[in-house]
Amino acid sequence: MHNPYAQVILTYFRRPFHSVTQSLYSLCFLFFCFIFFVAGEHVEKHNVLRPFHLMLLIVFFAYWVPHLKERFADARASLVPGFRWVHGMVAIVMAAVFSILLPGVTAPLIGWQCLGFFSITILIFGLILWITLHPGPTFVLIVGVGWLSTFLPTIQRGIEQIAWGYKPAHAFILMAIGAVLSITGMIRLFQLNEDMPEYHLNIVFPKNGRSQFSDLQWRKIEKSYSRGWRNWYANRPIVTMIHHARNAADSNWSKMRRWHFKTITVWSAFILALVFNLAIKLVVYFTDSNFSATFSVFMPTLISAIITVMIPAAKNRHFSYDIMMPVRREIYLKQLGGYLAIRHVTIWGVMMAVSIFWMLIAAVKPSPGFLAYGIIYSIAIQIWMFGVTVWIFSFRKIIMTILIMYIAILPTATLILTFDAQIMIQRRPLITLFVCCLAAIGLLLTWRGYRRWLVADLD
Amino acid sequence: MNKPTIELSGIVKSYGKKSVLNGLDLSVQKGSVLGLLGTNGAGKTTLIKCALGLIRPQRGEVRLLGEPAWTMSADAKSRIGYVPQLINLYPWMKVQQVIDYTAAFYPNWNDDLVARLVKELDIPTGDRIGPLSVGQLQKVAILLALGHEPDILILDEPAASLDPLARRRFLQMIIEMAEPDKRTVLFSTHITSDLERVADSVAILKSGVIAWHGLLEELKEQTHVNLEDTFLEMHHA
Repeated sequence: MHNPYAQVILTYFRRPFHSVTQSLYSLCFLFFCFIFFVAGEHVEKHNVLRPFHLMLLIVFFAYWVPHLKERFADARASLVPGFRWVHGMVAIVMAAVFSILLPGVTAPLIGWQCLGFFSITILIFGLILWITLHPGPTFVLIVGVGWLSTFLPTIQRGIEQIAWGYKPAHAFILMAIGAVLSITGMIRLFQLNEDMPEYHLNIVFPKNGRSQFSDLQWRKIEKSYSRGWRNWYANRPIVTMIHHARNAADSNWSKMRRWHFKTITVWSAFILALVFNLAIKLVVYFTDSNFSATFSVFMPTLISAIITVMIPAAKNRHFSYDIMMPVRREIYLKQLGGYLAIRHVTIWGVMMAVSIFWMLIAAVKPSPGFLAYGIIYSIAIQIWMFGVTVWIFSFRKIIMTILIMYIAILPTATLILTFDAQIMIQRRPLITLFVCCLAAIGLLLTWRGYRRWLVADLD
Repeated sequence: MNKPTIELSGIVKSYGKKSVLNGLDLSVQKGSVLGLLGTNGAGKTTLIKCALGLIRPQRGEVRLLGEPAWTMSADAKSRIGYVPQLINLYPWMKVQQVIDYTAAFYPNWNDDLVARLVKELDIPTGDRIGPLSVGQLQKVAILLALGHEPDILILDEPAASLDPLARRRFLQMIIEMAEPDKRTVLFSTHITSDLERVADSVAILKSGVIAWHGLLEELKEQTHVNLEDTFLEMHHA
């Protein structure tokens, strides 16, 4: 098949990573459509599934748009004849299908109005496109806050009002803003070249090698961090790491601490928890307090679990460097695993402490039972996620890891969504038994994972 | 006769259905400088990684300094220096910080030697690892591999990205380091002229096995042509 358009489309199916993730999203999407189609009336009562349906589209955009940028932020886009045109046309068709056609077709199935639904999806697509073009710390913040806000009752109600077609004027304004963002973003994307700053900015798929632009960026960053407290702050973890490497013969803590990896610091976790709780309080100011308490308890659960998942991924490239140091393999793995566990517990502990303290001073007053169960569930989920992470990363297979992590995070998400639901309160002993089983499986997986790491290739 | 410092016997390694090493045997004597030649994808890097215990062969045995490579002791590891083909150092560290960090692991780290190498290889110690060029990274990796004066030096295409000046200096260093019966060097390369300059023996990897292994002089006497032509002839045979 020599049709260039078909060749570009086929790349989405040929790459195992793409085909698996897309199949996963498609399956979830169809599953939700099916649920709404066959059990619409029942689902009506639990309208939390609708934002979930929207969330699937957001996840798809958040995954696909950075990939799209990767196509254009490449030398081939300027050198291969017709590259921009062919990729551009395929991108426009895909954007139209996923932001207009698909929502338009599925909207009636879930009881939403076509115009209302795709006004939301086109706006989200436009926003993600611009965020991807200009990534930075705001990227994570906006995506994170946007995702979390879809769980808020007020936001949900607002979205649903528009989606149901009760506010056509609002829908039209949103659609117009979304269309402008999408069209201007697409034009900017198709024009990407080395002279444009956004060509070099890519946090989702970091570029290999260096360019004059990235050199300049490094120098700029270096200059700003070369003096005063910023210099001290930037170098402090490295100096500490070297200190522990030197001190390893005398201290067990140093033996573990020398394998430090750059992730969120304890201070950052503290500030993040504080800011998050404050934001939640502000957003749910006019909503019920139980919701705020649920999030305050489960926010440390989610974030510390996600950080734990990120660490082996960040460490992945450096295993071959670490393992060549004069330390036996099993000793290295025990020390690294120990440090990972301590770091996980510390970050979780700090965030949980901030959340509990916040709830007390903000007079949310969760019941002792709520707090006790929340903490028990949170601990169980940490053990579960730690075990899954240690085990699945030992296979060092990216697609398998994504699939399993996707499935593993479901119990966490389900608990957050339904923690204070009446049905969950009535079945507390059963749910508690379930989370305890999760924790036990987590412990088993930790042990199994360690055994696997002992025989895993660390190249 | 010396006991082999590096010994691989019956090594079989495949990635999925793709077989890379098919019952490979190789032994490197103490004090020898062995150049490993092979086409792209012949399995040179896989062989080196198996030899270091970074990847586990499906079959066969690998011994380094008399110990199984997979469960090598800390003591044995402290006597090995390795320059990988793909260098993955911590990008957020400065070069000097990486040197200090690595030095902390080795009791016999030679600061004077490292200071000399920094000067000779013109390594920017104040720069961060992240934005270094491939050639500069390779220099840092060479320095880290030599800093503890290892008994075994294993280099995977070490001079591929070096500038002519650094390459000449690096090869000179290998010659100086390779004292008879003391230090063993195993290095893979595509540059046959480099190999001819420093190696005393050569191993040619083809179809997952060692097609030829012996002294460089022997090979030259047998073929009466230069190493590059010999390699090409063997490859086409």
